[in-house]
Amino acid sequence: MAIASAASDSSARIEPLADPEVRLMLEVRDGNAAAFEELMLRYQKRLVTVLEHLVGKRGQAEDLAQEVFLRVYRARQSYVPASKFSTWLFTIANNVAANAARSRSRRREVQVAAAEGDDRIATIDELALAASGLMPGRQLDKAELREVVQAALATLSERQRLAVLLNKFEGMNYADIATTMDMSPQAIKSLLCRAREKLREVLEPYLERGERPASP
Amino acid sequence: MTDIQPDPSELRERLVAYLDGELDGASARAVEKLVAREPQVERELRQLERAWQLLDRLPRAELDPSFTRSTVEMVALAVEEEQRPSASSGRLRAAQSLLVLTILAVAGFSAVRFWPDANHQLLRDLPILEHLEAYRQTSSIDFLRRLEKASLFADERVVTAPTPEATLTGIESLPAEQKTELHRDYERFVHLPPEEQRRLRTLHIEIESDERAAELTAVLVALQKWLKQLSGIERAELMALDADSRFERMARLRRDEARRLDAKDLQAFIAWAEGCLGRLAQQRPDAIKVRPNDVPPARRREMTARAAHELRLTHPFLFASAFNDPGARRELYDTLSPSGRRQLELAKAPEERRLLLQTWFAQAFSPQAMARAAQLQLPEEKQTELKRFFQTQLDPAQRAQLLNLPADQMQRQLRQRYEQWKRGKRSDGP
Repeated sequence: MAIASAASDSSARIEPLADPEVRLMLEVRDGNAAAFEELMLRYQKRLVTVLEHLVGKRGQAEDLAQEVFLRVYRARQSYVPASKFSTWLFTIANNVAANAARSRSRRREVQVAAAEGDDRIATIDELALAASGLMPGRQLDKAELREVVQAALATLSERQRLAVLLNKFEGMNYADIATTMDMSPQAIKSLLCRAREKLREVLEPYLERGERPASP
Repeated sequence: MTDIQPDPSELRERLVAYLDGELDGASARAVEKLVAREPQVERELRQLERAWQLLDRLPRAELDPSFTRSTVEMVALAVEEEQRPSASSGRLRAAQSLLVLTILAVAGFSAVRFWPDANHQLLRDLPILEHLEAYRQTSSIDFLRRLEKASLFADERVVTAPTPEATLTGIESLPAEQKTELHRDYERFVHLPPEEQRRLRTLHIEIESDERAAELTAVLVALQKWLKQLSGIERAELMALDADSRFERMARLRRDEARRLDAKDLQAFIAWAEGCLGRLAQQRPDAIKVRPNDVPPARRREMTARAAHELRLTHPFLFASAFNDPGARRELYDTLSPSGRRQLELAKAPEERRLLLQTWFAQAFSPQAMARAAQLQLPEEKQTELKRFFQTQLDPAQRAQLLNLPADQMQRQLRQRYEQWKRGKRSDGP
């Protein structure tokens, strides 16, 4: 989706000027360089966090985040506030990440095991193998638990993962996620439902063993 | 619709929507009734919720200020490119300049002796190259006269840039750092459209032949020095303005600078602002979500900056009142030096005080100020990437040129080249 239409097709319409960041972006449009740096400061960690969990590599996430900010700046003069700033920003991030994924796929740098249209990164068996250090009866410590959760996230498709990250980390509602990902709210509802069910399916056995080590 | 359908997948969608707060009141109540009635549903809901909560364990990215700096530099480069008309003849110009630069980089300026035309041109353009930023921003000689009349840069004119003798020997005798800067400006100059190059040369002749040449040159030198202190984006934004707006923007920036605090007063101001916002965060937790006092001292300045920026946008009146309070102001006044106090005394009207505090805030908490303050090293991953770029993408002459620079300048230039290369790679991509 083009940037301009991303800004104008929002199904999650709000009073844009009520969003302080939209006001900052309007300052950027009017030539205030400091306002752009302020927006960067506000979003850079959030953006890199989402992108890192999406693409799985920190360096690549930083590159993509820079590309997103560059696109935001280049689009400043045609910026029309039609949705929350965060929705607009993550729409651009989604496009940038999708382009990068297509490019990676063309270069055959990633092995994609497609299943029903989902580009899964790890199977449950692989996850079990990755977490094989978790012996029954042993309390999960923080680092281990984090690894398990990361691996569980990796079992989701890229679309599921993005929807989960936007919902969980950015607190976006279904309508905003739908705008960001260029899908209908109903499709997002189903996507998130499948994602959460998958997470439950993967994480629950580990939680069960961790909490009740004596159980057979 | 409030009835729960038996279809398990639809039921699950409802449970998830319930957890996400996406159901209307009636539907939510229906789910709650069902959960109370059916232990199986209650168990599923609990498990979904528990798995979701575990995502809080996922790490959040921590970035060092170099990320912000390199993004800003990248954007600044893009702005420069936007302003450069896409010249189809650019390839030829680029090829020519590459040839000159390669000779310069490999064999030094003396090698230009063997290329008389380039030699002659380089020496002729030398005064422009040395003050390229200032020449580019000077739309006409009248613009320069206007700056002189307004005395915008009067206090900086005492420092004059050392000008090398306009001979090859003069250039060769420059320190390595200055020579490198000249290389870079030369590169920028030859990439300008021919009409812009002609404009700059004409402007230079006009200045030299003006009856007030010495005064105008002094303004130009001071302007160059001042422009170099701005960020790349700020310079690019100035360039994008017409002459009148550019003059107004420069005047405003200079006014803001005149209000700046010295290093000691700046520390006093930061401590005072942290205290004010910390107190306000306790009194109005609804207005300030970030609490500067709850974080370790190392991160307090960043948190204060966030809280201040947030508050300025969401509760502008509360923000102003926090600092307009006479008691708080007195507290600040007592910690400032006599010159800082004088500035506070001069700002009598609320609007003047607001502008003064805004300037001090930017000085203390703007992204540039934060980046300067932090001075953190690049993360290891980025360092490895830069090292690889240095070894594989630069030729021996370019590497030698970088290695001749002081460490901090070498880092900066290496990063700039890296960003340019990376952007070039992206635009070549599919």
